[in-house]
Amino acid sequence: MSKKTEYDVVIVGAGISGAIVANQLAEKGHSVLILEAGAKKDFSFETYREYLNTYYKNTVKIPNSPYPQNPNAPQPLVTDVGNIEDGIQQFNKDSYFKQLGPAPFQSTYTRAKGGTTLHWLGTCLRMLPSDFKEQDLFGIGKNWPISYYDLMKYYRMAEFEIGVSADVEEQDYLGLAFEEGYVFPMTKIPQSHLDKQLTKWTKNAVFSYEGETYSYDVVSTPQGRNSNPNPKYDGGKGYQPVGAVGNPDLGQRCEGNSACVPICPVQAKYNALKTLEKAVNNGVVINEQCVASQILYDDDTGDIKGITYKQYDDIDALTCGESPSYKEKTITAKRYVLAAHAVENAKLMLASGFKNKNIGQNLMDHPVLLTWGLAPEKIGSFRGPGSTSGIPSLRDGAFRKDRSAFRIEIGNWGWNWPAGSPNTELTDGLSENLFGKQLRQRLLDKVQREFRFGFLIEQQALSNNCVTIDDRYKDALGNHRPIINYNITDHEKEGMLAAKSFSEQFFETIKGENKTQYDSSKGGYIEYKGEALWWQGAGHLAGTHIMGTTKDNSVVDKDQRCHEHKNLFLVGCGNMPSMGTSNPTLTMAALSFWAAENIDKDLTELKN
Amino acid sequence: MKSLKKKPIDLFENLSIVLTGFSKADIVGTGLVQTYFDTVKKELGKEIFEAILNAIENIKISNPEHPSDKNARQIKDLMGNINFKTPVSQIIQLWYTGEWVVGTFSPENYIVSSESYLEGLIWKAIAAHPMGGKQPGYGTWGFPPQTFTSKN
Repeated sequence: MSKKTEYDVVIVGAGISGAIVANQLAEKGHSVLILEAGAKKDFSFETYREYLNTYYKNTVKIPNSPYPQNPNAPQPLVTDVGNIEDGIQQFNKDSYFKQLGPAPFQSTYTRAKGGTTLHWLGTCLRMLPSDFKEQDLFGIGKNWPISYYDLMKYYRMAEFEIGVSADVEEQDYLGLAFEEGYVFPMTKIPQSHLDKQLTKWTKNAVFSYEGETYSYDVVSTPQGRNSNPNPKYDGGKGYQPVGAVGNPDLGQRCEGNSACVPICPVQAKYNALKTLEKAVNNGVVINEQCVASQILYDDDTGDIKGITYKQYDDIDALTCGESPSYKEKTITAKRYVLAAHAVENAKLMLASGFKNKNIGQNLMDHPVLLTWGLAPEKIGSFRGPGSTSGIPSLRDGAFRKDRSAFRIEIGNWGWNWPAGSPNTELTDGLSENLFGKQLRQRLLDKVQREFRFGFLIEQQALSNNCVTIDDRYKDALGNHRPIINYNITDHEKEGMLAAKSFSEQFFETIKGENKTQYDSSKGGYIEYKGEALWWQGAGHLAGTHIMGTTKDNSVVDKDQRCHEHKNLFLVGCGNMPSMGTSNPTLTMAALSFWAAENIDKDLTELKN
Repeated sequence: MKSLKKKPIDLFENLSIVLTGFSKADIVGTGLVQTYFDTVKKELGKEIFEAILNAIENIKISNPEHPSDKNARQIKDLMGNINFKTPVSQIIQLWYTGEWVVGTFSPENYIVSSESYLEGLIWKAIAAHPMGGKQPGYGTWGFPPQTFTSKN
């Protein structure tokens, strides 16, 4: 095999964006290399099973629990955010992020081949048309340089690649338009018994807030997990679900493992390993254990001259023991793509001395206000995907000029997220000296009625919420650790107040018991206008290198190309100037298809 | 374990049945009786473990699956005993979650094995299945919970 000296394209990061761009370009005949920071992993199902066993044996089952911490490419953990002591937010001293506050940043990502899609929930909501121009419409956040309608074609490509299950006739709310005759690749994932009961119990009821009323419509959520292929897909050609990498007969349909976050045992839920495997079969080369550390560019033209990376030695695959031994190399290509994650992309550009002042700014997430309670009867919690429905009525409206919109996610796993159920219910029973059948009965009666809401609050892009670097804070390989400045605004807190009121009215409507109680010592606890609020991170990190019209207001143009570095493209949620109330992965995937198309055009022109 | 008349593992099995509220079939069906016997013995130390087994032998539980009111009171007393409260809770937690729990979020806590997590009785207790294992199948989450219960 001849060793290639120069590739057409070098991509940093083997997550969903990098995988899509790589595969699209390889299909067009371009040579592509991906540099992946994570530990070396093959595509066998046995390797994936190691993640599953790590999850089983981990006592703290957080989103990154199956994916071992790797000192050469460290990742943030939700357990990094400690309690509030004497009014001061505490952070774990070993945290990857250096947090400067004032609010804790509570979201994480995964630095491994496949990226954070290894532990995402799989929610595949398109953004609403209004989300693309919220500055124009509501005077908040930032506009996109492209519209929903520009992105529709790429949404369809993303829905194919991920394999989205949904019934299109249920999804055309709040201005969401689909092409005449369009259907999703697979029919909707069955709604949970909880979803169905909530629909029944809220029939004809409304939520009232500040003089307006909103419906309680419970709507099935489009999801990146396999259900039944829709025979009408693609003009009647149908769709073939993609099973597990290394074991394709497995995972052809969701089996109800109830562990989408942090790991689907059968890969019925999409992860980027599926696209990566295709890419490799199309000739893409993935160099693993290669952490990009510097982007070299010409001061006069801005052109990228190469990417320097640190290739570290093999480490124990299971324990990821520390291994500071590495070789430094530089690679060149015709075009470069950063797909390392919103935070990692920004960090890398800052470490390389990029001059665009927007880099690292406009960091966004969806602060998630959690509320929880008991249904009036057993609804069968802890079964099925983490969420199968939501309530979209407060995702859009004129109120957005005064308070944040939110999407309401209905959680199928009891109080697992807000209160650590069912294990905490066991501990409570034991503290009352319960045992035997009494203990069992208590667990059954209580847990089977548990459910929770997650209110994903829209956050505006603001320059003060940002990623920076400082030479004092570096990891084992000598790369910078991200420094995070983060806060939430009154606009967002107003949204949280509305969310809390929604929850209170909802539990009254269904004659359930609202058991929401916020612990003032927990990270994310705040008081606003006399109300206790508690929010967590959604893992929706976005906005650190947004797209826009000029280098003064953005880092990339509408084509996803850097304003100041014409042979460098950025992909990932970092490009998004707003997220609305949609989980961002589907939109990120759509943008990656769009970026790949632009890079292909660019390379084709160059070659001719 | 010389002071015991019955086989220690049989006493441990009876203790496990009465403490968890599950049947002998449920307990034995986990395949973990010997593993947990060894785990508890190692973690508690021989002295405390033997004292617990001694106590359970003295209680003379005639039917661990359906303990008499008297037996139930005796077990309750055992749980209220300052010497036994923690170890007895630890044994219940082990059966329910597969985890040896030293304290809340203690770094010394550990899950015995992947199997022990998957065989955690807590999932049966709540009529569900372990998160990430023993999947009930496509669409079953849409059914009312009654059709799903394992509590027979």
